Amino acid sequence: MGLFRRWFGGTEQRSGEAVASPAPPETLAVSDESVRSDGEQGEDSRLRAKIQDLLDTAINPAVAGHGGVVSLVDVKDKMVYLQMGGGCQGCGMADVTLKQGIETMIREELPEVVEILDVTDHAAGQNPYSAASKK
Amino acid sequence: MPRLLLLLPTMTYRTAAFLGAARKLGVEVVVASERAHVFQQAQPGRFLSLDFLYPDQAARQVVEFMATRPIDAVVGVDDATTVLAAVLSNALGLPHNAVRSTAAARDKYRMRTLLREDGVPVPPYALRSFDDDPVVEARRTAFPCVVKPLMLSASRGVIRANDEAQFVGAVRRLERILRTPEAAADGEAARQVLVEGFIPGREVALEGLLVKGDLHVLALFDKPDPLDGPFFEETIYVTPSRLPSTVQAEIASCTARAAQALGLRDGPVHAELRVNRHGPSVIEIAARSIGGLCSRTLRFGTGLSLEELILRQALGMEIPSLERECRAVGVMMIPIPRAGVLKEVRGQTEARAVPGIDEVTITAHPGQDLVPLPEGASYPGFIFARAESPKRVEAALREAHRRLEFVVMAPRKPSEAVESRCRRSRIQ
Ligand SMILES: Nc1ncnc2c1ncn2[C@@H]1O[C@H](COP(=O)(O)OP(=O)(O)OP(=O)(O)O)[C@@H](O)[C@H]1O
Ligand SMILES: [Mg+2]
Repeated sequence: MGLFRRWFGGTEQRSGEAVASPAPPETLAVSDESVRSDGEQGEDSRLRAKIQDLLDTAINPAVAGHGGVVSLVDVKDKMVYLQMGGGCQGCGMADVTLKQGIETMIREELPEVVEILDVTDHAAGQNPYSAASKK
Repeated sequence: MPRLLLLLPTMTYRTAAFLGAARKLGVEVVVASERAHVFQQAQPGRFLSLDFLYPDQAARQVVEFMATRPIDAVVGVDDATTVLAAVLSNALGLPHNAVRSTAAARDKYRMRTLLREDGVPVPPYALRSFDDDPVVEARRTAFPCVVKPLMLSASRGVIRANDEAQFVGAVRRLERILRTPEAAADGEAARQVLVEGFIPGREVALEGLLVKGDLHVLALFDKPDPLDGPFFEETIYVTPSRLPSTVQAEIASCTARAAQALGLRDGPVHAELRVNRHGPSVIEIAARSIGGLCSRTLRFGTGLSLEELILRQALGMEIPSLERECRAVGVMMIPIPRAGVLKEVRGQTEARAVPGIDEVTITAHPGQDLVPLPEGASYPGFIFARAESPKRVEAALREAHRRLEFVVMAPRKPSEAVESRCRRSRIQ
């Protein structure tokens, strides 16, 4: 529920709830294409290409070391939706990887990005690199 | 932009809350963990790997790091990192609790001793060694008692014994738990056992912030499920407390005296106390904030998180309010339904639909081994609720939990695993 609120701008702006069960990406009706200007769509597709390039050249080669993979689900209104798989899905360090690693890399290259969101269902990860536990 | 060194063990639940708070405050973070992160090479200014078990070595590394990238505060997020945070702060010349105070809060025997010396009510206790014969020790023990390790947390290894036979069994079981490599890292402490008189009564947890030696109570949680042993699985926390205000005041003053006895002056404290007709007794006081994901229940002033308060204080930033929102809130640390391998958790949508429920978060993943107390240390997940009264919060948590169904396979054996469905029923 926290993630739902965060995506849809509810009252409780919590950042960092990567372990909450997110809605599947298909339900992310973030904006209606028909009301978006060509400029906005163009900006998003430019960001999409740049982020894909960052994933291919810097991010995925690094997380591959732990059997992980990060994919770009979409960019809409400069909001970036990422999905973590393999060793990253359900990993105790996934929040660090996303917020401290990936997010800072993306923001350094592309400061215009508004928000980077993890849409991974971490609770379904079958093979996390290190399972979250303890206090 | 201030820079914060955050000590984040790889297995902690606390990552998202602290990193989220740092981002909200616009603070640059350096994450230090006990294992190298995959991005460490690419971003050497943002990651550090430190051996948490060798503070002096870690301090040298951090001093070297700081030569090029100044650090304004060091914060440890949990029990495993509070002492190291004090050691590193000391080495960097940053204000922090004294190392000996944080170390005393981490060692249940030293804590008991300092508290008793200062007249703070604590259970009667004695230190024993695994080298002693438990059969002989049992004869000089008063019952009921509680056998516990000096350093573990999350109630791991804490066992009640009502007679000599149970005592011998409990000591032997604890010794096996402390043989795991992780526990053995505590050195001499892992060869020792604390034996305490069992204190009957209701249990509360006090979440506080020490500011220049003054304790500010951030929240007092009731634990409405009885904790009578033989193991002490934490389940429901609800605040505000339903205890009479005079009793709440006694609890607060007892906790303040405990912090003072240990010499803790600044930063978060999490204390557990038992209350009966003799008044409160301190079970423990830790120089850290509440564990697990439980801090999600807490909001202060205009919506500040507990971690924002902690980081603001550590960085010398202004703290706008220490006043918790007025609604009642609560969390259930979902108990382990039974030992085995988790297959799935059904009924989550139904649980979330219970009025008052904010969130149901399953943190265990399919295929994860569920290990009950006293050996295990993690929860399968958390339920969060918010309502007009503590009573409603408690009812919502219980109802949501009732709707969850854990499908657990038999504990791993080499080849076969029998599926068994287990509708949990324990704490209704
Ligand atoms: N002397 C005692 N009398 C009664 N109950 C006790 C006693 N000691 C411990 N307990 C019970 O066991 C629980 C865990 O004990 P304790 O706090 O010492 O261990 P811990 O591992 O640090 O726990 P945690 O990390 O959950 O705070 C307590 O919260 C309490 O319910
Ligand atoms: Mg405790």
